[in-house]
Amino acid sequence: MRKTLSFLLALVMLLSLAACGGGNTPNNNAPQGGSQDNNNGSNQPSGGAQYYNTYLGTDPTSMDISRISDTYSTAIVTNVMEGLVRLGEENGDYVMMPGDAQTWDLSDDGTVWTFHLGDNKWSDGEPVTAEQYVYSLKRSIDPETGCPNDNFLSPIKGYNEIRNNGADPDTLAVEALDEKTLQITLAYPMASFLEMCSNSIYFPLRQDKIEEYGEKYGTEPEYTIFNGPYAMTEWVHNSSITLTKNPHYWDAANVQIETVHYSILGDSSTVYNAYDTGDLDYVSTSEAEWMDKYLSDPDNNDYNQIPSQTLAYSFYNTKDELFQNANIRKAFTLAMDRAELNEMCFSGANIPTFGWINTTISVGSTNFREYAGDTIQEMIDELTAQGKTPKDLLIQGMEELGLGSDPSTLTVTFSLAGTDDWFRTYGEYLQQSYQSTLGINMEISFNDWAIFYDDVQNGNYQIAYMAWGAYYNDPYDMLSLFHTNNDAIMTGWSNAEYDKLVTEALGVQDEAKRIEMYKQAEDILLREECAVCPVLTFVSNYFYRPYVTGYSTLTFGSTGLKGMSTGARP
Amino acid sequence: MAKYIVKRVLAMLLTLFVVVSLTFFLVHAIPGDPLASMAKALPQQTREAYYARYGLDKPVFEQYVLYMKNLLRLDLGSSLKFAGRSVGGTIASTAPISGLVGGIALLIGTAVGVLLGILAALNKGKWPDQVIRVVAILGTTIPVFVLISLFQLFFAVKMGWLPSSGWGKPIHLVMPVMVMCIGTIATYSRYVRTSMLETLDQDYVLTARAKGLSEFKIVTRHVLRNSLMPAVTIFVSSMVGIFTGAFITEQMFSIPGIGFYYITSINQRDYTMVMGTTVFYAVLFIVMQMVLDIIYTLIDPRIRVAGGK
Amino acid sequence: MQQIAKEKFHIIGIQEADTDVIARPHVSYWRDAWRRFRKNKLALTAFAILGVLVILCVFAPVFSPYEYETMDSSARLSGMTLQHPFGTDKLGRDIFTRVWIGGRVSLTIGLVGALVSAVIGCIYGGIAAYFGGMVDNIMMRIVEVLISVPYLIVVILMSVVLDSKSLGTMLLAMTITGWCGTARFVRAQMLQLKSAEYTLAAQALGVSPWKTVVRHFIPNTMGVIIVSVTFDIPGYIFSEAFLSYMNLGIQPPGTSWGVLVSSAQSQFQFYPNQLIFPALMIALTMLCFTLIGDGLRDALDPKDRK
Repeated sequence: MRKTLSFLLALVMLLSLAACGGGNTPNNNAPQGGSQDNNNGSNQPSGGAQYYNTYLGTDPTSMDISRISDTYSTAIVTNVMEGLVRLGEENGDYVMMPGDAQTWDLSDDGTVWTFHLGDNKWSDGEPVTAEQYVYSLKRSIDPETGCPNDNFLSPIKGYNEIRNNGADPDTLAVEALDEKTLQITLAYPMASFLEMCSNSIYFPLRQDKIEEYGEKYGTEPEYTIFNGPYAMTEWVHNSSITLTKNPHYWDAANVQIETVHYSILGDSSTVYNAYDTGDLDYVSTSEAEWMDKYLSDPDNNDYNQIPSQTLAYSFYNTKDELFQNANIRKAFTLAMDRAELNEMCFSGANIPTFGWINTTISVGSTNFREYAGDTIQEMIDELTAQGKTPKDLLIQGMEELGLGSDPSTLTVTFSLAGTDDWFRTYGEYLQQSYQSTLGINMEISFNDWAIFYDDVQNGNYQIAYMAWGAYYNDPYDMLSLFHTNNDAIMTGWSNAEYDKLVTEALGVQDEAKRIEMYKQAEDILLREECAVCPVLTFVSNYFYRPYVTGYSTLTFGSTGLKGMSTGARP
Repeated sequence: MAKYIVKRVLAMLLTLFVVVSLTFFLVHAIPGDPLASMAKALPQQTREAYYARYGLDKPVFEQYVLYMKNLLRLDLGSSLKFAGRSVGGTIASTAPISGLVGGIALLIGTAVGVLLGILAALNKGKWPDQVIRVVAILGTTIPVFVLISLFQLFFAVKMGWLPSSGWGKPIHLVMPVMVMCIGTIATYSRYVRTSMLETLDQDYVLTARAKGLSEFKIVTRHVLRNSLMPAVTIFVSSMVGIFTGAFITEQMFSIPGIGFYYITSINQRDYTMVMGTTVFYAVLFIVMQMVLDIIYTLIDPRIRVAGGK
Repeated sequence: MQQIAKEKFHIIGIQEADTDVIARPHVSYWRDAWRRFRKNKLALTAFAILGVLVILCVFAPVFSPYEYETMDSSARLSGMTLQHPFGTDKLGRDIFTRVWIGGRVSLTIGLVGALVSAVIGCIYGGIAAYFGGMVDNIMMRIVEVLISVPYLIVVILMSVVLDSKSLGTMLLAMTITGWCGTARFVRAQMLQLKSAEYTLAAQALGVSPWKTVVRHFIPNTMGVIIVSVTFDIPGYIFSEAFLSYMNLGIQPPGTSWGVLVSSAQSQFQFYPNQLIFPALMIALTMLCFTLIGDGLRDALDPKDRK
């Protein structure tokens, strides 16, 4: 099964919410990508000092690519390590750029990938070899390593045997044909495998260094070795990180910025203050007031907006006495005024979302939402056309369950996790709006993430809130989350027809047919069963100082700082 | 005295043992585990390997015995959240930083606070007293995060005198020290004022006055020595507080101190880090308390060492 | 000059005991303190302001045309207007009403917390200081344990075990270790008094330990205790805000001054009114308690009795 889960991303989003002091910016700290082309044109100004000051919301956990799962670590790793390929950008579209692999071939059956490595070197001058890739991938899949996101390796042949039947990690189908040729055999053809290879888990590792440093590998710059455009030269935990251009990097000629300084700033007002003082060259915000402030001064702030792939949603415990009933779930999904919520809680900064697949995802060249329509809005309209309200649906559901017909006898608990004022406002909004539209009593249960997660895993909740970041530009990514075999969202919901549609669609090559199958699946999920309540898609708003050029404008870009320049710095 | 100290050290070890044991079982009793903060889609095997690596698969009591054994060897283990970082090393590298910022702030704050307290007491009811009272109120009622935002806005954004945050140069110390001072000044000035006033009423002060001693001599010789008791008592708490109470200040100024680990490790169920910071804190507090008790006897000749009775 | 007839006088007798009678009515320590407190205008004013705050907290929400938790999408982020004297917040809720609702929680927590700390702390510290020796040793080691165990763990565990995050649970969790500081203080102060002449006299006269502590030790340490209580009040108010921030405090839709202040922090440059009013209330409360505290100190000081 092509498993492209990105729970991790979502989790990290959530954790970043938890981590960002008083800010209400879900994407405060998204990694920055960059490429040669962007809205500022490709003429690199020169002359100005090449240094760049940016920030992270939380200290990265480690630089060991096998042991990280947070966006903060990934943001740094992307710049200090080189993988096989990088996902770049050309005229606003993704383009695959060579990394360690200068060229690659795919076998006719679409399962055997052969990568021909160039002559990149590590920061100590040692060459990068295919054997280092083999070591790295096998290390990540070894349960002993405790790699938190090894599911990105799932397309590789042997993965399931090792993962589920305890086979030897050595049986993973990755091979060094010679010093500079790497061969990866997949369990099934997968067109987007190359994109997956830009993920940090596919980066190489040095066995000698890992054995030398042991547990300490990746904890400090002196216990880590780099093969990327930059090397980490200083890491003051919880305070700052300094990257310096790596002279051994194969494409060093295209690395403009000499020094990069990351401040670790956990509080949003500190971030704004640092940007306003000029200590930062970049700031990200989703607070309307700050956006307005920076937008009103376009000479000093280049604005760049990227809809993230992160969808905020509520989900129901379908094993719960009350939420076992589809009409009750529908009532809760339809009773929500997404536009008002966006306005009230986010000052209109995000995108109200009326389907499980968010607005940016497409199948081939067809945008999924445009094809499938705003499902939930349609459902609301249909209900209104029948002269009914969500409350009527709720009462209907209550009667089906034999709970009488008075919603005010119900007390529903809504579970939320995260230590941020943003969550509080959100919870209060939901509480008030549900109480007034459905006439029920609602209690909000706030907990720290560990307790929340424990409760959700044990089915000890009624409705809960989470956010999920899609990793791939294909509806399968989001739809597979509700497959019976997937326990990422513990709703307890299971539907054989849905499972069949989602699994089969994956193998369908005809795009028109595939998108239709996805639409049918989504209709089961929302229209018929309503197991989930999509709310909105987060939007990231980036501001750069005008002398910063070459940054990425696409969410999944992985060129990092490589193409950026501050040559126009006064 | 020597016998007293031996007794206190033994008592200290016992107290420490109780603190460590209690914290260990309490933190394991909270629902949720350290893996929850990492990722949930962990395959069973990986999860088991992870638990086995940190001994989390064993019964809690067994884990406890293991932890205590390691503790005896002064081994605090490694963090469950930050792969490969040792708890001892983390404390050793972060505590001195918190100590530096907090220590400077505490020294300045105490000195200024005590002086203002004396000034207020000697001018009871007059304008210096009132001004100091207002300062004390503002110092304790403005939440520290508001104060920091205001300072950053004024000193960094508006005036450009100081960096808004960061660490590494002496200038980075200025704002955090200012922020942390204010609370200290407020607290000390109030306590010293009050206990000064009390001492000023004592018979021996009257006697001293009657003897015709100068006001300066009265204050320095008789009053001060007898009215610094509360200041000394809170000094111990504030000293320990440097390491645990500065989470917000450290976070907002990007100071790589220990406060972050003390607070976040609990939410992340980073058991070894929780235990490590608690042990550090407890040792510090208990030792300081002991020193305090000894200081009491030095400051106030009337107090015999408790237990030496 | 008028002559006074002898028969106008008669002997009423004389009793030995009468010679010792105190001419003025007996004024107890506490009554005397009250008499002196009433004379302190500043303290009385503070008392009145505090009274007004309490009355507003109790009645203002009742008479306000707005419910503190009701949202109004048409009145979001309003500044100070006639309709909304303190403005409105992000969800269009009236801050005037919310400040008084929040005051109920904050004042309760501040007062009850400080009071409980003071009472338990005084008794505990007093006993430890009075008996000294082994008793003091054990009692102080217990305090050290309570202070050293991370407070957050205790609070989280309590909310899990009691399965409740009510005001009561929070107060319990906060005071369970909150009194320790006061106890240390009181003990330290009392150790000083222990060897005072009047303590010796009291002991020589066979006064019970309880009475010695209550009659002699506590009044003589009142000043410092009062200062510690006045600091405890904002201390508790902010602890509550911190706990609410960690999701352990007051649950929605409830609110408190601390919660209002911390949720207004990130945007206070744009909406200062959201921050200033609750912050002002905290400061005002602290001011009143400081003034009342100073007044009380002066009134209660046995040395000042004249």
